Amino acid sequence: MIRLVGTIFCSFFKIGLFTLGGGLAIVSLVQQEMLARGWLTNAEFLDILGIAQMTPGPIGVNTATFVGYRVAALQGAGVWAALAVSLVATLSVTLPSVLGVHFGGGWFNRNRERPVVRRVFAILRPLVAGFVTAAGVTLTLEVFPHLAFGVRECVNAGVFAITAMLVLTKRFSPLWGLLLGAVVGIVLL
Amino acid sequence: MSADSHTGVSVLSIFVSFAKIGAVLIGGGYAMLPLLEDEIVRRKKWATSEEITDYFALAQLLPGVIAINTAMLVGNRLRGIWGNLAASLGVVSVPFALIGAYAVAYSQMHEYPVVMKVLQGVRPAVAGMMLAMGWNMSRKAVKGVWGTLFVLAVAAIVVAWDPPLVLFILAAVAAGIVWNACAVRKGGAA
Repeated sequence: MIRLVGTIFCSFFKIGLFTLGGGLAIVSLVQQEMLARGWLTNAEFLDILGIAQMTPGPIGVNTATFVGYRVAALQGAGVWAALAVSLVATLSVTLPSVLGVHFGGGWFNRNRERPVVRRVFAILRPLVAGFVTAAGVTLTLEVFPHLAFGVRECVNAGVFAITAMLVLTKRFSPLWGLLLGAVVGIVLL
Repeated sequence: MSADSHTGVSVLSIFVSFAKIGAVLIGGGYAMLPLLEDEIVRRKKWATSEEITDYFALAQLLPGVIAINTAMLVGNRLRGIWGNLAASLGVVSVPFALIGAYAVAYSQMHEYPVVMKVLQGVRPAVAGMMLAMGWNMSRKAVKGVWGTLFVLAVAAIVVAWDPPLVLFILAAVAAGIVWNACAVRKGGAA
C-alpha cells in the first residue's frame, strides 16, 4: 500500500506538472496514465469522467479524487485507506500549481506595469473571452441538443435566459440562477 | 510576496469564499470566472474585475489545473503563501467530500438520483452564465467590430475543432512580444 501511495503521488504530480492551457487537456493525460498503468479500463475511466464533470469542482481534480479512491479500492484497501489515497491523489495533482503560482504570480505582480506584459495581456484577455464563450457554446449545445419545445426544453430555456440576464445586468448574483436550476431539477426533471 | 498582499483579509475568510466557489463550480474551469466576479469582486471587493481576468489569463500560462491556479493567484495576492493554500484547499474541499461520498457509494448503487437531478437542472443555468460572461468579458477586452469578430472567431475555432488551447496562448504571448518590439522601435515605449 505504501508503494501504491508513492506511485499515485508521482503519477498525479506528473499530470499536474504537464497540464498546460486548460480545457480538457488534463483529462487525456489522466486517461493515458491510467490505461498505461493498467489501473482502469477505458469504460471505467469514461464512467468516472462523467461523474467528475457533473460534480462541482475542477474536472481534473475531481478525476484525480475519484481515480485515487477506485485504484486503492481495487487493490483491496478499506474505505478509509482508499479515501486517504484519494486525498493524496487530489493534493498531488494540485501541488505543482503551488510552485508555478508562487514564482509566476510573484513575477507577474512585480512586472504587470511593464509595456511588454501589458501588451501580452491585451491579447490574452480577448483570447480568454473567446475560450469562455466557446465553453458556454459547447455546454449550451449539450443542454439543448436539438430544437424542441417540450415542457422540459422550455423550462431549461427559461433557467438559461434568467441566469444569462443575471450575469449581463450584474445587479444580482448568478448563484440565484444556479439555485433556480437546482429547484427546477428536483421538482420537474 | 508580502509587499503586495492585502493584510486585512483573514485566511479563514479566503478559505470560506473559495469553498463556496468550489461548491458551485460546475462545468469545468471556465465556469469559475463568473463565480469569482460575483464572490471576490462584487461581494468581498478583494480585487478588481481586471485583476481577476488577468489572473485567470495568467493561470493558463502556468502548469496545473486552471481553477486551482486562479484560486492560488488570488489567494497569493491577498495573503501570500497562506492565502494561496487557503484558496486552493477551499476550492477542492466540497468537491472532495462529494466525490469521496460518491466513490464509497459507487460499489453499492450505480445512481445518485437526487444529486443527478439537481445537476441536470443546474446545467442550463451554467450554460447561460458562461455565455453571458463571455459577452461581458469581450465587451471589456476589445473595442469595435473587429475585436468582437476576433473573440467570436476564437470561440468558433475552439468549438468546431477543440484544438489544444495552449497553442493559442503561446501564439498570443509571442504576438504580444513582437507587438511590443515593433512599438519600441517606432519610439513609443508605452
